[in-house]
Amino acid sequence: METKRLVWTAMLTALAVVIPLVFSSIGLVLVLGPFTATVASHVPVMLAMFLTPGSAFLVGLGSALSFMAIHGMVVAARAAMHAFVAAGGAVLIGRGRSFAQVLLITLPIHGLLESLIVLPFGYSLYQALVVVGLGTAIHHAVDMVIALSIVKFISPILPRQI
Amino acid sequence: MLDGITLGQYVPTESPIHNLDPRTKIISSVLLIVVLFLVEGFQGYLLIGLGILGIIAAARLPLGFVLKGLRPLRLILLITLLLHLFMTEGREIARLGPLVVTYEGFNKGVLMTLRLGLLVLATSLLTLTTSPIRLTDGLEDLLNPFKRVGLPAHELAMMMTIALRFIPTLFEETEKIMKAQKARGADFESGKLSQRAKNLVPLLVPLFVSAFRRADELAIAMEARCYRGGEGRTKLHTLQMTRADYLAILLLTAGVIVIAVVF
Repeated sequence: METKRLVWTAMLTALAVVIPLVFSSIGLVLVLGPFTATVASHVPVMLAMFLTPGSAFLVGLGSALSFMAIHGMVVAARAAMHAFVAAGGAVLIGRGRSFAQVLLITLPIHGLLESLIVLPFGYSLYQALVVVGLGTAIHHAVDMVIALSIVKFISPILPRQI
Repeated sequence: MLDGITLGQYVPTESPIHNLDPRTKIISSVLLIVVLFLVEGFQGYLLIGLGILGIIAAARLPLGFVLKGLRPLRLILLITLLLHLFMTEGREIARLGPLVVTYEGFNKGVLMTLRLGLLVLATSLLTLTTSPIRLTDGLEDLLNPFKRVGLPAHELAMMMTIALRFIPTLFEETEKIMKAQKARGADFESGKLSQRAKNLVPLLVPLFVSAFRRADELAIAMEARCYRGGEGRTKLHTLQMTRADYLAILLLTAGVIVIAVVF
């Protein structure tokens, strides 16, 4: 792995840990029944789509490992799905799709993956599909708006599939 | 607000825990995390808590400093407690308007909050007692068997270590930017959630720009020192498991099995 890509991957992983911790400490948390999500926590994973699919996957995986240590297995399992969403998104960006299109395409996939992964943890079908699935989709949409606003400003320094 | 972040920090001190092989400490952390998910009673958590206190004492870390690491998580801990308190069905012990507090909810809430707190403490102990270089070496060595299936063990270990190393730095950076933006009139802590989410952009843009600038500088510094990845890389200090390491793993494994079976 090229040094620059390795360091950018690490930095985005660190941001994927820092952002949820900071923003939850100032109350930027969406609570939908048993589903909780921190605003902007997906942004680093979304930006990782600009790196290669492998790097994007590692940012998702790295954040999941950190979440396991902080929030436990269910949140970690849900966070692990970000690895697949990010890798898929990176593939699409590599094929020339715009960032906005990619985030829209990955929205239902993200919701579906997170709702499926919580089923083995004893969630009912309703809780998984409606609460977690729909909750994730809303969370993705909110973070998508934030990520798109940020990309407008940091676009010149973002790597393009380095 | 963000002071007291211990995750990712290293406290260099001479102690038996600091001197253990990083692989021993990584394995021990994983064992502690596993047992925290297996235990379902207060006694089990009490024993694990006492064990963690023992490790903190043996590592000669200031207890107040380690416990301060829980402060940034106080809202998450509170949400965890409240969610279980009010959303678990069972025998009613109190009522707050439409919200019912149940005995089962109280038990579950306290247990979950304890689990979360102990998880953070157990994880912080790893980074507090292991230098980033030794942590990378330990992680890489443990991931080495997976190289056969194509896992880039060195790169993954290096990436995790850089990420851990930068967590405290990015926390500081976030706090600085928040203060600077608040001085300019930004409000992150009141208003509707949608408005507060919108207000995050002036915080996130400089945070990402600063993080990416740091990433570029670090990459240049690494390349200037001829870093070329894991291929053919040798180590100045090779890891060596000692009797103390085997004893620590043995004791911890035995403790984990006893706690998991009994509690």
